[in-house]
Amino acid sequence: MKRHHITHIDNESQVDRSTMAESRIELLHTSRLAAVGQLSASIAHEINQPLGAILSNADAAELMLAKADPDLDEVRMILADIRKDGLRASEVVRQVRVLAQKRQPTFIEVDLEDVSKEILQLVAPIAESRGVTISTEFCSETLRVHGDPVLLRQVLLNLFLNAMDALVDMPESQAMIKFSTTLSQPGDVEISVRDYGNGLPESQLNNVFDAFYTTKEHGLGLGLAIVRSIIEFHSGHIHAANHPDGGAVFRFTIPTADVTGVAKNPTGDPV
Amino acid sequence: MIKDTQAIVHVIDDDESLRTALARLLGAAGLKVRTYSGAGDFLLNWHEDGAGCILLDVDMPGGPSGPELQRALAQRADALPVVFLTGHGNIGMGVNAMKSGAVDFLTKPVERDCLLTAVNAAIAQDGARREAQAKDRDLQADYDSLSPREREVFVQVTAGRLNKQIAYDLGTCERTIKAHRANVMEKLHVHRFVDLIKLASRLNIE
Repeated sequence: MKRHHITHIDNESQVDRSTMAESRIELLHTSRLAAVGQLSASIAHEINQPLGAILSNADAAELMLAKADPDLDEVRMILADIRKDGLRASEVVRQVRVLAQKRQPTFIEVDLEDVSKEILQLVAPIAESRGVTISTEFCSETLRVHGDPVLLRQVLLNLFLNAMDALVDMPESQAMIKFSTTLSQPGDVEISVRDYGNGLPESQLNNVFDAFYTTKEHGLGLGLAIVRSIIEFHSGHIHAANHPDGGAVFRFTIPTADVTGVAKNPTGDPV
Repeated sequence: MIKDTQAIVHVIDDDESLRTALARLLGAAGLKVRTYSGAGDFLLNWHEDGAGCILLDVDMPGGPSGPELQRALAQRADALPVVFLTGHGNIGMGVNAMKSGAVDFLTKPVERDCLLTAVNAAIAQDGARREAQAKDRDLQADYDSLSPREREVFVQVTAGRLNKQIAYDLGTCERTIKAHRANVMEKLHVHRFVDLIKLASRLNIE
């Protein structure tokens, strides 16, 4: 995202700055809600599993207690499992709320490998239902950066959803996404998401990150714009390219935590 | 054929917690249960001759999906009836599953009565299939016990020909045909001519 140099007198610039910050947070929030919508099948699955277990366990306990000589130890185990699954379901709900809520970005030390694996887990059911295979290649180094985990999740989520959209109607042999991480010089974490679809129109490679640029019938054209603004907010870079062997590659870099230092939390200028 | 084996419900779900809960519920309802963590686990550990049914999760990442397993099993004559369970079922999925022979298609979380009704229906369907197959096997064995001449008489008689005509064709007398015919009725355990015709159609004898 371009830095907006505000040259008005102080008072006005204060107002401008906070309005702009607000509208950017609003934009992020909108795109996150859209992502939550797209994830609804996955969320339903994550909640229905523990709910199903709770219901069946309760039904089983009821049947057991109706017997003349119920096995109380078994019933106690059932109650412990019900409790465990209740917590599991509420954790899913908590995560969804974190993803959907409006918030100020908070920078902490984040392991991008952990974030990537979380998102991979989240998109796996969607990929499977669409017949898309995701292969991963994690480098051996720790990918520690300073960043906002929610925003970074958003980046990966958008890139995966985008890649999956590029694979609609592709034959099974091409319905693949390759995800890889590297620690590139000097001290940058590099992550790439490659699809094996039809690639991007060469003339549009520079425009894909523009807000409201979209090739999708029902797209808002915000996903990649959001991605770029988040990456740049983390002092990183992102670019899109067509792979020589076909498909599009989105590759972004974020400085590692050691290089970035702790002073990178630009609280005064959110996103 | 192992006689009097209690039906087993094979629960296949990758979610351990749900699998255990389902097994407990079915167990508490008096059913015998085995659990498997996936399609592969089931294929490795399934003892094929037992009666029962399969309670199958649709969505199992990292391995064959429920519908894939069902399609593979449906090729077999001794395929166990399948009841599907899914976390996010849609109508299309349900229709496809039922078309390929599933007994029922339930969505998680599933109510006890729905689950038990579907599982019992699947077990009943398996029982009926086994009974029919056993009857067919017994009948085939009875038929195989007929002598070549008795078989010839059986075919001719059920084709509607008279003893006299058959005797003429086979170059023997009517009394011999009558004796053969009595033997056929006895060996196939029927007392009436109409039942003999029914057997002929079950044995695909024209």
